Amino acid sequence: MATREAGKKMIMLKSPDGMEFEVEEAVAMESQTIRKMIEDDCADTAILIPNINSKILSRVIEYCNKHVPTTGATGAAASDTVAPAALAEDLKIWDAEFIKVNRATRFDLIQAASYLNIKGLLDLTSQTTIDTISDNSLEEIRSFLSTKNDYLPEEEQTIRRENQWAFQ
Amino acid sequence: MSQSEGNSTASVMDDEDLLWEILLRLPPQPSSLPRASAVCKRWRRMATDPSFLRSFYAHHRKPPLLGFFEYQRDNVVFTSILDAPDRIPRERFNIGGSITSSESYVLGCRHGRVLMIDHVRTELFVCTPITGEQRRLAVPPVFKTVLHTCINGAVLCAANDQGHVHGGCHSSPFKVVLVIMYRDDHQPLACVYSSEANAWGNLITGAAPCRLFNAHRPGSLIGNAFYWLTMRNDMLVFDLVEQSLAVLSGPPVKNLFVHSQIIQVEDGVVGFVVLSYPHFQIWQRKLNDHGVATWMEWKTIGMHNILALPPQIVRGGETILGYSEDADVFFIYVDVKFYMVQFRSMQSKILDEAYYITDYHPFTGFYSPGINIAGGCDGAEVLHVVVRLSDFDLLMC
Repeated sequence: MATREAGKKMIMLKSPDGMEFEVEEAVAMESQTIRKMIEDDCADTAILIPNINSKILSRVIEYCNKHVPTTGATGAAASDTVAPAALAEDLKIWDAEFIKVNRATRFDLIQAASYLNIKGLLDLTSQTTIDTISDNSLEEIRSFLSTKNDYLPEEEQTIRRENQWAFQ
Repeated sequence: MSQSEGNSTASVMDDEDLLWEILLRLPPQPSSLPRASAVCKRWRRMATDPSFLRSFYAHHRKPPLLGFFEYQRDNVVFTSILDAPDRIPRERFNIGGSITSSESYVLGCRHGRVLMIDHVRTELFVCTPITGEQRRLAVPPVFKTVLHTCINGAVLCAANDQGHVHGGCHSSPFKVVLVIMYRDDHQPLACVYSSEANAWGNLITGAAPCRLFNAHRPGSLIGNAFYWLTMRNDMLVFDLVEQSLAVLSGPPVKNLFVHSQIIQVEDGVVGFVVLSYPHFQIWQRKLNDHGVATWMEWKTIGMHNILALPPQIVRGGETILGYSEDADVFFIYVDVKFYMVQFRSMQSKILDEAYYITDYHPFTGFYSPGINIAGGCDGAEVLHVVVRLSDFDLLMC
Protein backbone atom coordinates (compact mmCIF):
# COMPACT_ATOMS: atom_id res chain seq x y z
CA MET A 1 0.00 0.00 0.00
CA ALA A 2 1.37 3.37 -0.91
CA THR A 3 1.97 5.91 1.82
CA ARG A 4 1.90 9.68 1.76
CA GLU A 5 4.60 12.06 2.89
CA ALA A 6 4.40 15.83 2.50
CA GLY A 7 1.58 15.42 0.03
CA LYS A 8 3.55 13.17 -2.27
CA LYS A 9 2.56 9.62 -2.96
CA MET A 10 5.31 7.26 -1.84
CA ILE A 11 6.08 3.71 -2.85
CA MET A 12 8.32 1.02 -1.34
CA LEU A 13 10.90 -0.81 -3.46
CA LYS A 14 12.55 -3.95 -2.08
CA SER A 15 15.82 -5.45 -3.23
CA PRO A 16 16.37 -9.24 -3.02
CA ASP A 17 18.99 -8.71 -0.27
CA GLY A 18 16.26 -7.35 1.97
CA MET A 19 16.78 -3.61 1.75
CA GLU A 20 13.75 -1.34 1.41
CA PHE A 21 13.69 2.03 -0.32
CA GLU A 22 10.81 4.44 0.07
CA VAL A 23 10.61 6.60 -3.03
CA GLU A 24 8.13 9.02 -4.54
CA GLU A 25 5.80 7.26 -6.91
CA ALA A 26 6.73 9.72 -9.67
CA VAL A 27 10.41 8.79 -9.22
CA ALA A 28 9.65 5.05 -9.30
CA MET A 29 7.55 5.56 -12.42
CA GLU A 30 10.63 6.69 -14.34
CA SER A 31 10.88 2.92 -14.71
CA GLN A 32 8.35 1.83 -17.31
CA THR A 33 8.29 -1.63 -15.71
CA ILE A 34 7.25 -0.20 -12.32
CA ARG A 35 4.89 2.27 -14.00
CA LYS A 36 3.05 -0.62 -15.64
CA MET A 37 2.84 -2.50 -12.31
CA ILE A 38 1.35 0.56 -10.61
CA GLU A 39 -1.03 1.34 -13.45
CA ASP A 40 -2.18 -2.28 -13.59
CA ASP A 41 -2.66 -2.12 -9.83
CA CYS A 42 -0.16 -4.93 -9.30
CA ALA A 43 1.85 -2.91 -6.79
CA ASP A 44 1.27 -4.29 -3.33
CA THR A 45 2.65 -2.97 -0.03
CA ALA A 46 6.11 -3.09 -1.53
CA ILE A 47 7.45 -3.95 -4.97
CA LEU A 48 10.16 -6.59 -5.00
CA ILE A 49 12.77 -5.85 -7.65
CA PRO A 50 14.36 -9.21 -8.41
CA ASN A 51 17.99 -9.57 -9.51
CA ILE A 52 18.97 -6.02 -8.60
CA ASN A 53 20.94 -5.80 -5.37
CA SER A 54 20.56 -2.91 -2.96
CA LYS A 55 23.79 -1.24 -4.07
CA ILE A 56 22.66 -1.04 -7.69
CA LEU A 57 19.03 -0.29 -6.83
CA SER A 58 20.10 2.70 -4.74
CA ARG A 59 22.11 4.02 -7.71
CA VAL A 60 19.13 3.52 -10.01
CA ILE A 61 16.91 5.44 -7.58
CA GLU A 62 19.53 8.19 -7.43
CA TYR A 63 19.39 8.41 -11.24
CA CYS A 64 15.58 8.48 -11.33
CA ASN A 65 15.47 11.13 -8.57
CA LYS A 66 17.62 13.38 -10.69
CA HIS A 67 15.76 12.73 -13.93
CA VAL A 68 12.16 12.87 -12.76
CA PRO A 69 10.50 16.06 -14.06
CA THR A 70 10.46 18.20 -10.89
CA THR A 71 7.61 20.44 -9.74
CA GLY A 72 7.92 23.44 -7.47
CA ALA A 73 5.74 24.41 -4.51
CA THR A 74 3.19 26.01 -6.80
CA GLY A 75 3.04 22.96 -8.94
CA ALA A 76 4.72 24.74 -11.85
CA ALA A 77 7.27 22.63 -13.65
CA ALA A 78 10.84 23.57 -12.80
CA SER A 79 11.52 23.92 -16.50
CA ASP A 80 9.24 27.00 -16.46
CA THR A 81 11.81 28.88 -14.44
CA VAL A 82 15.02 27.28 -15.70
CA ALA A 83 15.80 27.39 -19.39
CA PRO A 84 15.40 23.88 -20.90
CA ALA A 85 18.87 24.10 -22.47
CA ALA A 86 20.46 24.93 -19.11
CA LEU A 87 18.52 22.10 -17.48
CA ALA A 88 19.68 19.66 -20.15
CA GLU A 89 23.27 20.83 -19.75
CA ASP A 90 23.05 20.39 -15.97
CA LEU A 91 21.71 16.84 -16.43
CA LYS A 92 24.49 16.04 -18.89
CA ILE A 93 27.16 17.10 -16.39
CA TRP A 94 25.41 15.18 -13.64
CA ASP A 95 25.17 12.05 -15.85
CA ALA A 96 28.88 12.24 -16.67
CA GLU A 97 29.70 12.21 -12.95
CA PHE A 98 27.11 9.54 -12.18
CA ILE A 99 28.56 7.09 -14.71
CA LYS A 100 32.12 7.33 -13.33
CA VAL A 101 31.83 3.87 -11.83
CA ASN A 102 33.80 0.66 -12.20
CA ARG A 103 33.05 -1.68 -15.03
CA ALA A 104 31.11 -4.22 -12.91
CA THR A 105 28.80 -1.51 -11.60
CA ARG A 106 28.24 -0.12 -15.08
CA PHE A 107 27.30 -3.53 -16.46
CA ASP A 108 25.02 -4.15 -13.46
CA LEU A 109 23.40 -0.78 -14.20
CA ILE A 110 22.87 -1.79 -17.86
CA GLN A 111 21.03 -4.91 -16.71
CA ALA A 112 19.00 -2.94 -14.18
CA ALA A 113 18.13 -0.24 -16.74
CA SER A 114 17.02 -2.91 -19.17
CA TYR A 115 14.92 -4.85 -16.65
CA LEU A 116 13.33 -1.72 -15.20
CA ASN A 117 12.99 -0.21 -18.69
CA ILE A 118 14.55 3.18 -17.97
CA LYS A 119 15.48 4.46 -21.41
CA GLY A 120 17.71 7.34 -20.30
CA LEU A 121 19.79 5.10 -18.03
CA LEU A 122 20.08 2.42 -20.71
CA ASP A 123 21.22 5.11 -23.15
CA LEU A 124 23.79 6.46 -20.73
CA THR A 125 25.25 3.10 -19.69
CA SER A 126 25.30 1.57 -23.20
CA GLN A 127 26.72 4.70 -24.81
CA THR A 128 29.45 4.91 -22.16
CA THR A 129 30.38 1.29 -22.87
CA ILE A 130 30.69 2.01 -26.59
CA ASP A 131 32.62 5.23 -25.97
CA THR A 132 35.19 3.44 -23.84
CA ILE A 133 36.02 0.95 -26.60
CA SER A 134 35.86 3.32 -29.55
CA ASP A 135 39.62 3.63 -30.02
CA ASN A 136 40.52 0.11 -29.01
CA SER A 137 41.86 -2.73 -31.11
CA LEU A 138 39.69 -5.81 -31.69
CA GLU A 139 41.76 -7.76 -29.13
CA GLU A 140 41.21 -5.04 -26.53
CA ILE A 141 37.48 -4.90 -27.27
CA ARG A 142 37.17 -8.67 -26.83
CA SER A 143 39.08 -8.60 -23.58
CA PHE A 144 37.21 -5.56 -22.25
CA LEU A 145 33.81 -6.99 -23.12
CA SER A 146 34.56 -10.62 -22.16
CA THR A 147 33.82 -11.70 -25.71
CA LYS A 148 35.52 -14.78 -27.11
CA ASN A 149 36.95 -14.69 -30.62
CA ASP A 150 35.32 -17.74 -32.27
CA TYR A 151 36.74 -17.08 -35.74
CA LEU A 152 39.42 -19.30 -37.21
CA PRO A 153 42.42 -17.12 -38.11
CA GLU A 154 41.65 -17.41 -41.83
CA GLU A 155 37.99 -16.50 -41.23
CA GLU A 156 38.98 -13.37 -39.37
CA GLN A 157 41.38 -12.48 -42.16
CA THR A 158 38.58 -12.80 -44.72
CA ILE A 159 36.27 -10.58 -42.66
CA ARG A 160 39.00 -7.97 -42.32
CA ARG A 161 39.74 -8.10 -46.03
CA GLU A 162 36.09 -7.38 -46.85
CA ASN A 163 36.68 -3.82 -45.69
CA GLN A 164 40.38 -3.57 -45.08
CA TRP A 165 40.26 0.24 -44.93
CA ALA A 166 38.18 0.02 -41.73
CA PHE A 167 41.10 -1.60 -39.89
CA GLN A 168 43.76 0.96 -40.74
CA MET B 1 39.57 -7.93 -14.69
CA SER B 2 38.18 -9.07 -11.34
CA GLN B 3 35.87 -12.09 -11.06
CA SER B 4 32.90 -9.80 -10.36
CA GLU B 5 33.68 -7.50 -13.29
CA GLY B 6 34.04 -10.49 -15.59
CA ASN B 7 30.71 -11.98 -14.45
CA SER B 8 28.80 -8.72 -14.84
CA THR B 9 30.30 -8.04 -18.24
CA ALA B 10 29.73 -11.56 -19.54
CA SER B 11 26.12 -11.69 -18.37
CA VAL B 12 25.39 -8.46 -20.22
CA MET B 13 27.30 -9.34 -23.37
CA ASP B 14 25.73 -12.83 -23.54
CA ASP B 15 22.25 -11.29 -23.45
CA GLU B 16 21.06 -10.80 -27.02
CA ASP B 17 18.83 -7.80 -26.17
CA LEU B 18 21.57 -6.01 -24.23
CA LEU B 19 24.18 -6.67 -26.93
CA TRP B 20 21.67 -5.13 -29.39
CA GLU B 21 21.29 -2.06 -27.15
CA ILE B 22 25.05 -1.62 -26.90
CA LEU B 23 25.92 -2.16 -30.57
CA LEU B 24 23.09 0.19 -31.57
CA ARG B 25 25.15 2.97 -30.06
CA LEU B 26 28.23 2.40 -32.18
CA PRO B 27 28.99 5.62 -34.05
CA PRO B 28 27.34 5.89 -37.51
CA GLN B 29 30.77 6.23 -39.16
CA PRO B 30 31.51 3.67 -41.90
CA SER B 31 34.16 1.65 -40.03
CA SER B 32 31.90 0.90 -37.03
CA LEU B 33 29.93 -2.09 -38.24
CA PRO B 34 32.72 -3.71 -40.31
CA ARG B 35 34.97 -3.58 -37.22
CA ALA B 36 32.22 -4.88 -34.91
CA SER B 37 31.57 -7.76 -37.28
CA ALA B 38 35.19 -8.89 -36.92
CA VAL B 39 34.94 -9.25 -33.11
CA CYS B 40 33.10 -12.61 -33.16
CA LYS B 41 30.46 -14.50 -35.13
CA ARG B 42 27.63 -13.37 -32.89
CA TRP B 43 28.50 -9.72 -33.38
CA ARG B 44 28.71 -10.26 -37.12
CA ARG B 45 25.30 -11.90 -37.23
CA MET B 46 23.87 -8.86 -35.45
CA ALA B 47 25.80 -6.28 -37.47
CA THR B 48 24.46 -7.78 -40.69
CA ASP B 49 20.90 -8.49 -39.46
CA PRO B 50 18.48 -6.29 -41.46
CA SER B 51 16.25 -5.60 -38.45
CA PHE B 52 19.26 -4.57 -36.35
CA LEU B 53 20.42 -2.32 -39.19
CA ARG B 54 16.98 -0.68 -39.39
CA SER B 55 17.20 0.09 -35.65
CA PHE B 56 20.78 1.34 -36.09
CA TYR B 57 19.66 3.75 -38.81
CA ALA B 58 16.64 4.86 -36.78
CA HIS B 59 18.81 5.41 -33.70
CA HIS B 60 21.22 7.65 -35.60
CA ARG B 61 18.50 9.25 -37.78
CA LYS B 62 20.97 10.97 -40.12
CA PRO B 63 23.57 9.11 -42.16
CA PRO B 64 27.09 10.55 -42.08
CA LEU B 65 28.60 12.39 -45.02
CA LEU B 66 31.13 9.95 -46.45
CA GLY B 67 32.61 12.06 -49.23
CA PHE B 68 31.70 13.27 -52.69
CA PHE B 69 31.57 12.09 -56.28
CA GLU B 70 32.92 14.19 -59.10
CA TYR B 71 33.40 13.83 -62.82
CA GLN B 72 37.11 13.64 -63.49
CA ARG B 73 38.79 12.91 -66.82
CA ASP B 74 36.08 10.68 -68.34
CA ASN B 75 35.47 8.97 -65.04
CA VAL B 76 33.30 9.46 -61.96
CA VAL B 77 35.40 9.18 -58.84
CA PHE B 78 34.77 9.20 -55.11
CA THR B 79 36.80 11.15 -52.56
CA SER B 80 36.34 10.52 -48.85
CA ILE B 81 36.18 13.50 -46.51
CA LEU B 82 36.77 11.34 -43.42
CA ASP B 83 39.96 10.30 -41.67
CA ALA B 84 41.13 6.71 -41.15
CA PRO B 85 39.66 4.28 -40.28
CA ASP B 86 36.52 5.76 -41.88
CA ARG B 87 38.26 6.72 -45.07
CA ILE B 88 36.57 4.61 -47.74
CA PRO B 89 39.03 4.22 -50.62
CA ARG B 90 38.16 5.51 -54.07
CA GLU B 91 38.30 1.98 -55.53
CA ARG B 92 35.56 0.73 -53.20
CA PHE B 93 33.02 3.06 -54.86
CA ASN B 94 34.13 2.46 -58.41
CA ILE B 95 31.00 3.49 -60.31
CA GLY B 96 32.66 5.03 -63.34
CA GLY B 97 32.99 1.67 -65.11
CA SER B 98 29.68 2.08 -66.92
CA ILE B 99 30.74 5.32 -68.57
CA THR B 100 31.71 4.72 -72.14
CA SER B 101 31.60 8.20 -73.59
CA SER B 102 32.96 11.59 -72.70
CA GLU B 103 29.40 12.92 -72.93
CA SER B 104 28.46 11.55 -69.51
CA TYR B 105 27.65 13.60 -66.45
CA VAL B 106 26.55 13.11 -62.89
CA LEU B 107 23.11 14.69 -62.52
CA GLY B 108 22.67 14.15 -58.81
CA CYS B 109 23.40 12.06 -55.77
CA ARG B 110 20.92 11.42 -52.99
CA HIS B 111 19.77 8.76 -50.50
CA GLY B 112 22.73 6.49 -51.28
CA ARG B 113 22.35 6.57 -55.08
CA VAL B 114 24.13 8.38 -57.90
CA LEU B 115 22.35 9.36 -61.12
CA MET B 116 24.46 9.70 -64.27
CA ILE B 117 23.47 10.42 -67.85
CA ASP B 118 25.23 9.28 -70.99
CA HIS B 119 24.19 11.70 -73.71
CA VAL B 120 25.67 9.67 -76.55
CA ARG B 121 23.75 6.55 -75.66
CA THR B 122 20.88 8.61 -74.23
CA GLU B 123 20.79 6.42 -71.17
CA LEU B 124 20.70 6.99 -67.47
CA PHE B 125 22.68 5.05 -64.89
CA VAL B 126 21.46 4.71 -61.34
CA CYS B 127 24.33 3.47 -59.18
CA THR B 128 24.24 2.37 -55.56
CA PRO B 129 27.91 2.66 -54.58
CA ILE B 130 27.63 0.84 -51.25
CA THR B 131 26.13 -2.31 -52.78
CA GLY B 132 27.81 -1.94 -56.16
CA GLU B 133 24.51 -2.24 -58.00
CA GLN B 134 24.08 -0.29 -61.22
CA ARG B 135 20.98 0.01 -63.36
CA ARG B 136 20.55 1.36 -66.84
CA LEU B 137 17.42 3.21 -67.92
CA ALA B 138 16.55 4.52 -71.37
CA VAL B 139 15.45 8.16 -71.31
CA PRO B 140 11.95 8.96 -72.65
CA PRO B 141 12.04 9.83 -76.39
CA VAL B 142 11.33 13.56 -75.93
CA PHE B 143 14.57 13.89 -73.94
CA LYS B 144 16.49 12.71 -77.01
CA THR B 145 15.19 15.62 -79.10
CA VAL B 146 16.74 18.44 -77.07
CA LEU B 147 20.26 19.62 -76.49
CA HIS B 148 21.75 17.74 -73.58
CA THR B 149 22.70 21.04 -71.96
CA CYS B 150 18.98 21.60 -71.30
CA ILE B 151 18.50 18.40 -69.27
CA ASN B 152 18.77 18.08 -65.53
CA GLY B 153 17.58 15.45 -63.13
CA ALA B 154 17.70 13.83 -59.72
CA VAL B 155 17.34 10.49 -57.99
CA LEU B 156 15.65 9.89 -54.64
CA CYS B 157 14.51 7.02 -52.44
CA ALA B 158 10.84 6.17 -52.83
CA ALA B 159 10.42 4.19 -49.59
CA ASN B 160 7.35 5.34 -47.73
CA ASP B 161 7.21 2.86 -44.86
CA GLN B 162 6.79 4.43 -41.47
CA GLY B 163 10.02 5.31 -39.69
CA HIS B 164 12.13 4.86 -42.82
CA VAL B 165 15.52 6.54 -42.44
CA HIS B 166 17.31 7.48 -45.63
CA GLY B 167 20.92 6.45 -45.91
CA GLY B 168 20.50 2.72 -45.46
CA CYS B 169 17.92 2.42 -48.22
CA HIS B 170 20.23 0.66 -50.65
CA SER B 171 17.55 -1.77 -51.76
CA SER B 172 14.49 0.45 -51.39
CA PRO B 173 12.53 1.50 -54.47
CA PHE B 174 13.65 4.76 -56.01
CA LYS B 175 12.46 7.49 -58.34
CA VAL B 176 14.26 9.46 -61.00
CA VAL B 177 13.05 12.93 -61.96
CA LEU B 178 14.24 14.20 -65.34
CA VAL B 179 13.53 17.75 -66.49
CA ILE B 180 14.05 19.71 -69.69
CA MET B 181 14.65 23.30 -68.66
CA TYR B 182 14.71 24.86 -72.13
CA ARG B 183 12.88 23.80 -75.29
CA ASP B 184 12.11 25.62 -78.52
CA ASP B 185 8.51 26.19 -77.38
CA HIS B 186 9.84 27.55 -74.04
CA GLN B 187 7.85 24.94 -72.19
CA PRO B 188 9.81 23.20 -69.41
CA LEU B 189 9.00 19.54 -69.03
CA ALA B 190 9.38 16.82 -66.41
CA CYS B 191 9.04 13.06 -66.30
CA VAL B 192 9.32 10.68 -63.32
CA TYR B 193 10.60 7.11 -63.38
CA SER B 194 9.47 4.73 -60.68
CA SER B 195 11.57 1.62 -60.01
CA GLU B 196 8.51 -0.07 -58.51
CA ALA B 197 6.55 0.31 -61.75
CA ASN B 198 9.77 0.03 -63.78
CA ALA B 199 8.31 2.71 -66.06
CA TRP B 200 8.33 6.41 -66.78
CA GLY B 201 5.17 8.36 -65.95
CA ASN B 202 3.38 10.93 -68.07
CA LEU B 203 5.13 14.04 -69.30
CA ILE B 204 4.43 17.02 -67.05
CA THR B 205 4.58 20.53 -68.45
CA GLY B 206 4.82 23.86 -66.68
CA ALA B 207 1.94 26.29 -66.39
CA ALA B 208 3.44 29.12 -68.43
CA PRO B 209 6.09 29.17 -71.16
CA CYS B 210 9.41 30.63 -70.11
CA ARG B 211 13.04 30.62 -71.19
CA LEU B 212 15.24 28.91 -68.64
CA PHE B 213 18.91 28.32 -69.16
CA ASN B 214 20.18 25.35 -67.20
CA ALA B 215 22.98 26.25 -64.79
CA HIS B 216 23.96 22.54 -64.73
CA ARG B 217 23.85 22.42 -60.99
CA PRO B 218 22.40 19.47 -59.08
CA GLY B 219 18.91 20.06 -57.71
CA SER B 220 18.18 20.66 -54.03
CA LEU B 221 15.36 18.64 -52.43
CA ILE B 222 13.51 20.96 -50.07
CA GLY B 223 10.25 19.78 -48.54
CA ASN B 224 8.49 17.88 -51.31
CA ALA B 225 10.06 19.72 -54.20
CA PHE B 226 13.23 19.75 -56.26
CA TYR B 227 14.75 23.14 -57.10
CA TRP B 228 17.14 23.56 -60.02
CA LEU B 229 19.10 26.74 -60.54
CA THR B 230 19.08 28.63 -63.85
CA MET B 231 21.83 30.83 -65.22
CA ARG B 232 19.78 33.88 -64.24
CA ASN B 233 19.53 32.78 -60.63
CA ASP B 234 15.89 31.71 -61.03
CA MET B 235 14.75 28.20 -60.27
CA LEU B 236 12.72 25.45 -61.87
CA VAL B 237 10.64 23.70 -59.21
CA PHE B 238 9.18 20.23 -59.45
CA ASP B 239 6.68 19.32 -56.73
CA LEU B 240 6.82 15.56 -56.15
CA VAL B 241 3.40 15.38 -54.49
CA GLU B 242 1.49 17.68 -56.83
CA GLN B 243 3.52 16.40 -59.79
CA SER B 244 3.70 19.96 -61.05
CA LEU B 245 6.34 22.23 -62.54
CA ALA B 246 6.74 25.91 -61.70
CA VAL B 247 9.30 28.65 -62.09
CA LEU B 248 10.37 30.77 -59.12
CA SER B 249 12.30 33.98 -59.27
CA GLY B 250 15.48 33.98 -57.24
CA PRO B 251 16.43 36.80 -54.85
CA PRO B 252 17.36 40.16 -56.38
CA VAL B 253 21.05 39.46 -56.86
CA LYS B 254 23.29 40.16 -59.81
CA ASN B 255 26.06 37.64 -59.22
CA LEU B 256 27.06 34.88 -61.59
CA PHE B 257 25.23 31.61 -61.01
CA VAL B 258 28.52 29.87 -60.15
CA HIS B 259 28.42 31.90 -56.94
CA SER B 260 24.87 30.79 -56.13
CA GLN B 261 23.39 27.80 -54.39
CA ILE B 262 19.79 26.94 -53.55
CA ILE B 263 19.76 25.62 -49.98
CA GLN B 264 17.37 24.50 -47.29
CA VAL B 265 17.63 26.96 -44.40
CA GLU B 266 15.34 24.88 -42.24
CA ASP B 267 12.76 22.14 -42.85
CA GLY B 268 10.95 23.01 -46.05
CA VAL B 269 12.21 26.62 -46.19
CA VAL B 270 14.03 27.57 -49.36
CA GLY B 271 17.19 29.62 -49.06
CA PHE B 272 19.78 30.98 -51.40
CA VAL B 273 23.48 31.41 -50.69
CA VAL B 274 25.58 33.86 -52.67
CA LEU B 275 29.33 33.62 -52.42
CA SER B 276 30.15 37.29 -52.73
CA TYR B 277 33.74 37.71 -51.60
CA PRO B 278 34.47 38.46 -48.77
CA HIS B 279 30.97 37.46 -47.62
CA PHE B 280 28.41 34.71 -47.77
CA GLN B 281 25.08 36.36 -48.34
CA ILE B 282 22.17 34.17 -47.28
CA TRP B 283 18.58 34.77 -48.38
CA GLN B 284 15.44 33.00 -47.40
CA ARG B 285 12.08 32.82 -49.10
CA LYS B 286 9.34 33.83 -46.70
CA LEU B 287 5.61 33.55 -47.08
CA ASN B 288 3.57 36.43 -45.63
CA ASP B 289 0.12 36.12 -44.05
CA HIS B 290 -1.48 36.28 -47.49
CA GLY B 291 0.64 33.42 -48.77
CA VAL B 292 2.76 35.72 -50.93
CA ALA B 293 6.43 34.79 -51.02
CA THR B 294 9.24 37.30 -50.87
CA TRP B 295 12.99 36.95 -50.61
CA MET B 296 14.46 38.35 -47.41
CA GLU B 297 18.13 38.88 -46.87
CA TRP B 298 18.70 36.74 -43.82
CA LYS B 299 22.39 36.89 -42.94
CA THR B 300 25.69 38.14 -44.24
CA ILE B 301 28.66 36.24 -42.91
CA GLY B 302 32.29 37.20 -43.41
CA MET B 303 34.20 34.30 -44.91
CA HIS B 304 37.68 35.27 -43.68
CA ASN B 305 37.06 34.02 -40.16
CA ILE B 306 35.13 30.96 -41.21
CA LEU B 307 37.76 29.80 -43.66
CA ALA B 308 40.71 31.22 -41.68
CA LEU B 309 41.83 33.07 -44.81
CA PRO B 310 44.93 35.30 -44.85
CA PRO B 311 44.29 39.06 -45.25
CA GLN B 312 45.28 38.88 -48.91
CA ILE B 313 43.94 36.00 -50.97
CA VAL B 314 44.38 34.90 -54.55
CA ARG B 315 41.23 36.23 -56.19
CA GLY B 316 39.33 34.79 -59.08
CA GLY B 317 37.58 31.50 -59.58
CA GLU B 318 35.64 31.52 -56.30
CA THR B 319 32.96 28.91 -56.84
CA ILE B 320 30.30 26.95 -55.02
CA LEU B 321 31.09 23.37 -56.00
CA GLY B 322 28.33 21.41 -54.33
CA TYR B 323 25.74 21.20 -51.60
CA SER B 324 23.92 18.54 -49.60
CA GLU B 325 20.70 19.40 -47.84
CA ASP B 326 20.95 16.08 -45.96
CA ALA B 327 24.40 16.78 -44.54
CA ASP B 328 23.80 20.54 -44.44
CA VAL B 329 27.18 21.27 -46.01
CA PHE B 330 28.48 22.99 -49.09
CA PHE B 331 31.79 22.71 -50.90
CA ILE B 332 33.51 25.85 -52.15
CA TYR B 333 36.67 26.93 -53.89
CA VAL B 334 38.34 30.08 -52.56
CA ASP B 335 41.97 31.25 -52.49
CA VAL B 336 43.14 28.26 -54.53
CA LYS B 337 41.88 25.89 -51.85
CA PHE B 338 38.89 23.61 -51.52
CA TYR B 339 36.72 23.86 -48.43
CA MET B 340 33.80 22.04 -46.90
CA VAL B 341 31.55 24.35 -44.88
CA GLN B 342 28.91 23.20 -42.42
CA PHE B 343 26.02 25.56 -43.05
CA ARG B 344 24.50 25.79 -39.58
CA SER B 345 27.70 25.99 -37.56
CA MET B 346 29.73 27.66 -40.33
CA GLN B 347 32.62 25.36 -39.38
CA SER B 348 34.96 24.70 -42.26
CA LYS B 349 37.54 22.11 -43.24
CA ILE B 350 40.12 22.21 -46.00
CA LEU B 351 39.84 19.30 -48.43
CA ASP B 352 43.40 18.24 -49.13
CA GLU B 353 42.45 15.73 -51.77
CA ALA B 354 40.33 17.95 -54.00
CA TYR B 355 42.02 19.17 -57.15
CA TYR B 356 39.38 20.09 -59.71
CA ILE B 357 36.90 22.93 -59.98
CA THR B 358 33.89 20.88 -60.93
CA ASP B 359 30.54 19.78 -59.48
CA TYR B 360 30.96 17.95 -56.19
CA HIS B 361 28.12 15.57 -55.37
CA PRO B 362 28.11 14.93 -51.61
CA PHE B 363 27.43 11.31 -50.69
CA THR B 364 25.82 10.38 -47.38
CA GLY B 365 25.07 6.86 -46.22
CA PHE B 366 25.27 4.15 -43.59
CA TYR B 367 27.90 1.55 -44.37
CA SER B 368 27.26 -2.00 -43.26
CA PRO B 369 29.37 -5.12 -43.75
CA GLY B 370 28.47 -8.10 -45.88
CA ILE B 371 26.09 -6.21 -48.15
CA ASN B 372 25.37 -7.89 -51.41
CA ILE B 373 23.03 -6.81 -54.12
CA ALA B 374 20.18 -9.16 -53.20
CA GLY B 375 16.80 -7.50 -53.40
CA GLY B 376 15.71 -4.24 -54.85
CA CYS B 377 15.82 -5.23 -58.49
CA ASP B 378 12.13 -4.58 -59.05
CA GLY B 379 12.31 -5.92 -62.55
CA ALA B 380 14.53 -3.14 -63.88
CA GLU B 381 17.53 -4.15 -65.84
CA VAL B 382 20.56 -4.79 -63.70
CA LEU B 383 23.39 -3.66 -65.88
CA HIS B 384 26.42 -4.37 -63.90
CA VAL B 385 26.38 -6.68 -60.97
CA VAL B 386 29.58 -6.12 -59.12
CA VAL B 387 30.75 -9.26 -57.34
CA ARG B 388 29.88 -9.62 -53.69
CA LEU B 389 31.86 -7.37 -51.41
CA SER B 390 33.97 -10.16 -49.98
CA ASP B 391 35.11 -11.28 -53.42
CA PHE B 392 35.47 -7.71 -54.58
CA ASP B 393 37.78 -6.73 -51.80
CA LEU B 394 39.76 -9.91 -52.11
CA LEU B 395 40.36 -8.93 -55.71
CA MET B 396 41.51 -5.52 -54.59
CA CYS B 397 44.10 -6.96 -52.22
